[in-house]
Amino acid sequence: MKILDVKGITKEFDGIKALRDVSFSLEKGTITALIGPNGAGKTTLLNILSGFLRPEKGEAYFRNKKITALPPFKIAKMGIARTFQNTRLFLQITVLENVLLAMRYENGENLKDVIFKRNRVLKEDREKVEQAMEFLEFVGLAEKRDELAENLSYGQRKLLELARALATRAELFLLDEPLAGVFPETKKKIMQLMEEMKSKGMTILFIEHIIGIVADISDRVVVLKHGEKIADGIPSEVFSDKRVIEAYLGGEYDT
Amino acid sequence: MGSYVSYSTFMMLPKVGSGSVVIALVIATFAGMIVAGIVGVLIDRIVYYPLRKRGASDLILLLASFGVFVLIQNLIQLIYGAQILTIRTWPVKEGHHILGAVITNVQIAILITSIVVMVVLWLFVQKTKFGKAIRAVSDDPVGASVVGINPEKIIMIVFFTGSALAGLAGTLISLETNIEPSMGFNAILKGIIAAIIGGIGSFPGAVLGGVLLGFAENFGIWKIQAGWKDTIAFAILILFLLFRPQGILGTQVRTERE
Amino acid sequence: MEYLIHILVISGIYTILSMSLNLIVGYTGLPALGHAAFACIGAYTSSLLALRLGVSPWIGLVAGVSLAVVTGFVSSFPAIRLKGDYLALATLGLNVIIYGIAKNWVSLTRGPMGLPGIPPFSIWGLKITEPWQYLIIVLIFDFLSFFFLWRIAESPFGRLLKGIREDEKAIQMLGVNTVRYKIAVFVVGAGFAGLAGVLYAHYITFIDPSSFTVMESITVLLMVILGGMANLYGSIIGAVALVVLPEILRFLGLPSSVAAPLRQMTYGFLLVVLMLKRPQGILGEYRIR
Repeated sequence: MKILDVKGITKEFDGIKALRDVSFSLEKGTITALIGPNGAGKTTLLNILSGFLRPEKGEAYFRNKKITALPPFKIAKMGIARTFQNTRLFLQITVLENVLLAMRYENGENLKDVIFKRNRVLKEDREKVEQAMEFLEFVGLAEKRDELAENLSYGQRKLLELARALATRAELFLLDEPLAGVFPETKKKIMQLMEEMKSKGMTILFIEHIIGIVADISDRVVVLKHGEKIADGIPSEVFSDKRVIEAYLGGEYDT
Repeated sequence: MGSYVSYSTFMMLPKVGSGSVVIALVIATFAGMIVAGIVGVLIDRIVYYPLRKRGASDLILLLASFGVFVLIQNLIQLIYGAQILTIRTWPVKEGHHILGAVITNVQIAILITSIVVMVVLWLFVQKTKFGKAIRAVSDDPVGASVVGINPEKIIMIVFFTGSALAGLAGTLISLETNIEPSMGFNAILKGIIAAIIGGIGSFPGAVLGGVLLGFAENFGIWKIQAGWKDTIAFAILILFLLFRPQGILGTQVRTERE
Repeated sequence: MEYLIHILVISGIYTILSMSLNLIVGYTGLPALGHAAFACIGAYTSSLLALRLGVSPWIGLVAGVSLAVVTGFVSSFPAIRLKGDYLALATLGLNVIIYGIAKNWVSLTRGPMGLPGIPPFSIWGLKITEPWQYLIIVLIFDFLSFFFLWRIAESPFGRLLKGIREDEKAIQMLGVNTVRYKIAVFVVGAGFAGLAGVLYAHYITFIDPSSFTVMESITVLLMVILGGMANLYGSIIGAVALVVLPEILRFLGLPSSVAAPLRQMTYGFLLVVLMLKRPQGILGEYRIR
């Protein structure tokens, strides 16, 4: 089924069109790469899809519900998770707490319960900690649970952000350069995790620059240039498309 | 660039400037300005520079400048005592009558001085090389250093000039009203409010803000009692912060990092 | 001895102020510089009700806290729309405005002349006038405040507040409606500050606007920073420290013209040193960066 439907998104900043009439859709359970030279509007698109920006024209639908006018927290609640290019973790709290913050509580999050029903809150907390540990184990950060997030290496931070996104139990994951700047082993690990996520039925839309990786794990590729979609299809087609090759002329051709 | 911090420190310096109660007014004024300027630079080196170096956030700088302000205000109180001083210039003459209002010689002098200073400062920032360097550092210290500008040197100059001017302002104010150690606080707040109303990052904006604020406050107390001056000023500030944070002529709004 | 008890009472009152401010500033990371305003509302509400309408101070307490809560609710609006120093300025502004009202609405508050003769609390006919009696009351309220604030702060709710502090956008992306929480902390924080104001009024039996200036707010903020952000125990330490410190100066036998500015100078100095060397204070986990 089409889990995400993007229709005619146009976004302007001070007269400059960052996105021009971009449309595409995502099937559930697929991995789609969003690529394009710098400044093509990829992060802007993610910002719109996650609710931090509003497009001038066009809409996006998640499971047939319109998301383009919603605030970020509502979009997150509907089942969309997002990571950021330079990781936005909660640095001065622990790894475990970072993941816990992704999990919405029945009882622990309103004043009344916290003050008057503490036992129930503590019980739920214990359950949530167990679940959080599962996510940390999935990404391989279980031993770091009590480490402050700011003490993690860059690669570990990316893994933590992924664990946190998973902990939201989202169906659609918007990942902004999940593989940028990490060592090869971590790169492989993240790619592995993405495949596992796909096998569990999750959908991923990720921004990436490295063509080889994109070709390896993506089911589909969407190419943006100067805010316009110039290609949309399976990797082999897209990468033999003349316009795509042209767009990348002079850029990284890292196979 | 931390124009906040700058304002906070600057505005405390009127007290330093006004501290020199001497007969020869012009000499006193310059002395006050120089003392103020030096103190300003010292504060920058001792307090702000280490903070800048370690990348402290604006909030820390703001708090630190508060601390400095409290320190200096009370130091002055310690040295000069808490009573109110006046600068005695020439005997009080009746003022000239213009347009149905009364304006004294002293007030004319203040007005002219202010206008001259504003024009000179504006020209300095807009037209000279120094001025351009200042704006460069304000926009992007790293970029500026790459093209051969020494940001720290520029910052020191800015602090000196700004503090000296604040000292001047203090002296001018004290010609009209009395001097007391706590005058700096009021000045800070009004300075910040004026800057925000007029627009941060815009020089004419600061001037406009100051004038508007002055008018608003005084028209306000025309109808209501004088004590409400501050309240009015802050009420205006809050309205601006909520609905037009870039002020009237402002250029940069605090951009949200994405 | 009476003197010592007096110090403890004052420390106890300030503790409520610093703990409640810590919730807003230390846990949630909102630079709220106008805390004294809420105490002002609490104090004046309760005092005026008692003086003008003969209302029992206990009811005055409820009224004072309630009004402070409402003020807190209103104050949360700038917190939602403004960030960083702009918020600091706005909260400062509210402080000035409320102080201005207290000082200038003379027909209501007697302005700078203040309200003397505020009736003390009484329990079953016994008037609480002796400092040692008041100390017991204050300590009870201290325990209650700590109890409530602890349960809020050390819980998933508190964890959420820290998340908002660390990165508001990121936590929104985890499905958290940060607006709700910001309103909540302002409401709670203001309420407790109002409580402190009421306790102060019925103890000293005289209030005037000068107890609720911006300088007071900064002092409370200093207590929070010194003791440690996001650490309630730290706020207790900070409050006691900053109440005791100026009193020590008094023992040096300096004339008040020297002691008063000297005391403020220590505050200023402390603030600068903390910012330079140890922004997390004594017990803090959280460094303002």
